[in-house]
Amino acid sequence: MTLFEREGSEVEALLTDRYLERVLARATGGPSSGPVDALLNPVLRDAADQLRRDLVRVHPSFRFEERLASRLAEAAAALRMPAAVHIRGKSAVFPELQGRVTVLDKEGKIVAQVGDNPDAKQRANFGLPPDQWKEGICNSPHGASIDKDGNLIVTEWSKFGRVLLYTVQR
Amino acid sequence: MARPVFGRVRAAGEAGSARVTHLDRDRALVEEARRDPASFDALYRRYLAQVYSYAYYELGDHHEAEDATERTFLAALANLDRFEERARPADGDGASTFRVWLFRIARNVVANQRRGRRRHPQAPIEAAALVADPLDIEGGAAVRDEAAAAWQAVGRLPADRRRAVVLRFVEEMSTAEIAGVLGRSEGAVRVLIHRALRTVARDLGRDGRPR
Repeated sequence: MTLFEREGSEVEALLTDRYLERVLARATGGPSSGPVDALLNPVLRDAADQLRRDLVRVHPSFRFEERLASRLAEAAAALRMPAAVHIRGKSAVFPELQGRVTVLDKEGKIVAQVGDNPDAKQRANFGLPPDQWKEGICNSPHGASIDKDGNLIVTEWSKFGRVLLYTVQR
Repeated sequence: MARPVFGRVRAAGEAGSARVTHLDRDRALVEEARRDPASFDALYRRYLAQVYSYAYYELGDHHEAEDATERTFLAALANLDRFEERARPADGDGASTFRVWLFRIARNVVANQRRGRRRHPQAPIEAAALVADPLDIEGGAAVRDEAAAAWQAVGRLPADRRRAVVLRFVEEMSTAEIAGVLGRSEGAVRVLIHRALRTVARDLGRDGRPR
């Protein structure tokens, strides 16, 4: 379909898109004007130019940047193939496919690790038969959540399906 | 390991000839982070300000934006093995499907956070005051007023139009990238932005009609 076969508003949306492509490319040395500029409604051009000028990127504080960098570094170092993350309050729960679940706090420090499987052959083993499972020991955690009472629920990646529940000792 | 994706695209002025282009600009960093999760830091530094800014425009609060940013990067680190590069030749040299994937996570995190607090986002008007040049005292007030008006106009847009505008103007994403983030077609994104600009123009009194 050519430009002239489209509906009026569709054509204007396309012209707007072309104009924005050029306006946004200007910062990186693109052309200062294009052949379709004159075809676009000047009201839309002005609005686009103002948003281009006034909508600026907002940067986080340096303190936040470094704090999160440390937390990510701790998480990266502490985890064994994390499969997901579930955040509850100030805790982040990582089910790790390599047979463990780790809970980190806001600063990235390990709060708890449960279900650690010492047998590397059983970790991330999709076909591990149920008669080899051990109570409370994870094989391939893939999802995790914390309920309102603080109990930890873990689901595993297994062709047989498995859900583990770690209750809070009070 | 990710399968290499190469596309044969024609460069301008190279009629009849072709060149091979490397499509996803983040591929090397993603592969490195998969081999060694500590290397995720490079991707984090590259996209921190973008994700934070997006969250801030959506939530209108620095603390909430920090929270959403933190959740986004932790989820990205945890799920990096699931990321699939999907760059197409049409996406061009600078395309990053990792960025699209990251922003999809951010969009979901922000949506969950907004559902959690069950109240309307506030337009981050006060931030517009920080945008103007603090040394230009005379001109500063007028610039600040204009910037604040633009921020307010964008803040009043329906959520899907506001998101598209922020991704286009602040994050400088292409229409294709925005379509990937929002899960819409490129045509739908063009229409969203066009309608948003019409509303903003009317709101700012640029269409000659009384506000």
